[in-house]
Amino acid sequence: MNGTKNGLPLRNLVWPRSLHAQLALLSGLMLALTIAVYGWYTAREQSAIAEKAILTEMQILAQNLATASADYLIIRDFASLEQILIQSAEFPGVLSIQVTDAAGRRVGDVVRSENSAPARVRFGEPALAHPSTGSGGTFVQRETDRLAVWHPVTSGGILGWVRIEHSLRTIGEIRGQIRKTSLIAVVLAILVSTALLLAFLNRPMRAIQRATLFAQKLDELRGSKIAVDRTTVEIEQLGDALNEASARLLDSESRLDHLAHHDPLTNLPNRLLFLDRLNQAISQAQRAKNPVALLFLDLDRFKVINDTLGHIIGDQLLKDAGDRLSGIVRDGDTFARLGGDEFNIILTYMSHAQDAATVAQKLLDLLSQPFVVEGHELFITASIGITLFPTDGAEAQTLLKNADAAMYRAKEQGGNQYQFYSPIMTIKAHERLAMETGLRHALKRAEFAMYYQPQVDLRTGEIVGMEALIRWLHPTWGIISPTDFIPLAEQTGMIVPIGEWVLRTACAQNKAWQSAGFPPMRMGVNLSSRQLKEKGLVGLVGRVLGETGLEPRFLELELTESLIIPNA
Amino acid sequence: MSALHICAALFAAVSLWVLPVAAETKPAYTFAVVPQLPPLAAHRAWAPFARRLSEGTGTEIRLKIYQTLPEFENDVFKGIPDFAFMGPYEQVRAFDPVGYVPLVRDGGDPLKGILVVRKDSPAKTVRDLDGMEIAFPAPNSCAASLYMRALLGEKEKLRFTPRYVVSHTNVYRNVILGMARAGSGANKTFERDTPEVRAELRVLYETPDMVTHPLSAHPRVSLELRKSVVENILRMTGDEAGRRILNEVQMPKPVKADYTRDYKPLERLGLDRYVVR
Repeated sequence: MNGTKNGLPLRNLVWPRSLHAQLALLSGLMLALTIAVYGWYTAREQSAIAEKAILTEMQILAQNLATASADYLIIRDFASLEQILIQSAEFPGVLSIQVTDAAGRRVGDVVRSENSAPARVRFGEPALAHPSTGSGGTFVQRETDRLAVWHPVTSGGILGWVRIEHSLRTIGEIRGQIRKTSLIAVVLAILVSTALLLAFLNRPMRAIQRATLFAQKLDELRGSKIAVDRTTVEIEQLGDALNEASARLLDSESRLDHLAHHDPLTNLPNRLLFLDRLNQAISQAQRAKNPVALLFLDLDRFKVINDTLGHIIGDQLLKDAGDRLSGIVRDGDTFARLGGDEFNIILTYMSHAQDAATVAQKLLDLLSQPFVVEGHELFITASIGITLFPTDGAEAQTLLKNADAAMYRAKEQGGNQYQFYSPIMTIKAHERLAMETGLRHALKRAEFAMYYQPQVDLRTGEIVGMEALIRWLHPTWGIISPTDFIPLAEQTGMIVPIGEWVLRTACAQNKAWQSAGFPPMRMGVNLSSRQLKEKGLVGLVGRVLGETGLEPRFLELELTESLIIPNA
Repeated sequence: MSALHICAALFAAVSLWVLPVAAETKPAYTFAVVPQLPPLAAHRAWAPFARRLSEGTGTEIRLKIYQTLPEFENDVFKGIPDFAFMGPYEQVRAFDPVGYVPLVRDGGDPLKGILVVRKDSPAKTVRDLDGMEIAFPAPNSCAASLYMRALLGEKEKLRFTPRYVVSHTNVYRNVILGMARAGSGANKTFERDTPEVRAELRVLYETPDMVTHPLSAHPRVSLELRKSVVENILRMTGDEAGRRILNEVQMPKPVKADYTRDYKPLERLGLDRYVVR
């Protein structure tokens, strides 16, 4: 096991992971370190001072002894010499005193075993090697536990030497004392400063904890605030930042919520919100037994404007229309945009169905005024489909489908009107859907055929040109005229591949007839504005001409307006 | 105020100033100690004794310590100290001219002169010291010098060179340190020296017993005081501290001394010719 316990490195057992504890411990350690260093330094200083003091005293003592010893050495009164040595050895810390003759032979030797014991005379020790310095002053020898101070006994020349040994144990004791005191101080420092800092930091740390807890639950607590501890700048900043974040979170959420429920372009409720409101309205209407009306408003010929003027203007038009029209609804109603160029309205609390018609007419009237967008004066109308709850459906989905059908009917009837739903519209809607599906497959299944209508010069009676017309030959539905399927093709975008087929087929046929020897003439091919919007149309025409070999002067492209052609 | 009044007042003032001082002052007596030891050692040995005696007699006994024997003898033969602890033969020499009266002496072991050599010395008998230098304290030290020199010269017929090193203790140390082949001291000082010293030396030769040192009084000292001193000294044996004090001054068993009984016999020893004057 290399140094882990419960998956944490062992280091964490010694060094805490809490900032609180770390700071407290660190301060304690710093203080302890300072004290230890100071203690060590002081110990050294004090030792040096003490040693110096001892040295000075010993030098003086040695000097005095040397002076006193001179007489006795000369007259060889070793007994009297011994007496002064014994007296001198009383000096605290003195370990031994020797007086030697010039050769180093001991003539007086006094020792003290411990500080309290009296000095004893000693005989028989070997001669001392005296220092060889030529100077007449003291000489110091230093060993680990003692100091030896030499002084020559002079009278004319050197008669002998005095040596005093002094214990350095007191210095060791001083050092030990200081160390002991320092150690106690170190321990105290660690304890006290750790405790102090733990206490002092308690409040800020708890504030941080509270802030952390708040941040962790910010999701739930968004919008609410915590009490900000203003004792320290950092914590105050943290608290304020969290409160701001909380407010912003709430704000974002609101905005997100809004975005999720509203159309970005017009800021009107979107499908999600709309459905929700519709369900609410239905529930409420079930209880209150008053009808709810659904109005689907589709802008007529919006595609033309979008295709010709561009979608920037188209979008702006939608926005302006939305602004103008949405003002009509009351508080309990909903004016929404579910997509495209369609606006969807829920009318609640209606007294009777006719109220819905009134509203629809008002909407149509509002649109009679032109819109000015980017300098363009635009006139638009709308087709409105109306369904009623519970008459036209008991569920939201049904109502939506039927409102759509009613709107389509209004469009079929020429636009700029409203239509109430009737069941037949559903049938028509189904039919329409079937046709759309068939149309998608028609090109693949080669169900299209080109008919060429000759153009005759009425004066000469000669054929001067042709017009290519497309017909759809459906296996079950029979021949379908372009008036019936071209608008659908334009709506679905199928017009592009169909158009290309038309172009290609017509050109090829014209070329074929020319090649067959018939007099060459112009072929007219209809283009819808939808095709015109396609990039590469020019390229396409060029390619087709190239492939078929038809000379461009024999092709005439005619632009037709994309209209839902009204019935007679 | 008349002159008489002034004088009386002055007299009263002066007496008042002098009298209290006078009342506090005890009679002081000098006490000379023969220098067997260096002055410091001698003082250390005798000061407690002097203090105790002062307390006991109600006087102030002032010690007089000497560095050399000649200085001591000088004072003694001039009759300067009131009391003196002197060598037995000094007592004899001083009795007629000055009249010091022995009061007490030690009644225990007799005094002996001893000849010491280093413990590792090759000398086996005193004969081995023939022709050598021998250390003595002072020429006139009774047992250590006078008696020993007489014996060595006359009885042992030894040839030797005396060297005088002032004190008994110095004799011993000179021998230990090899400054002299042998030295002559006294049993009373030898046994009171440090164990370290005694461990280094060996007694080679001894004199016969001699009477112990007297503590004597100058005739001018009152009989009453002499009696008091004797009583005090004898009384010191009664307590532990006193016995220690007495031992320090070589009188562990003090007895009354009598000149005729104790010291007169020494006149017949014939030591006079060794005395250096």
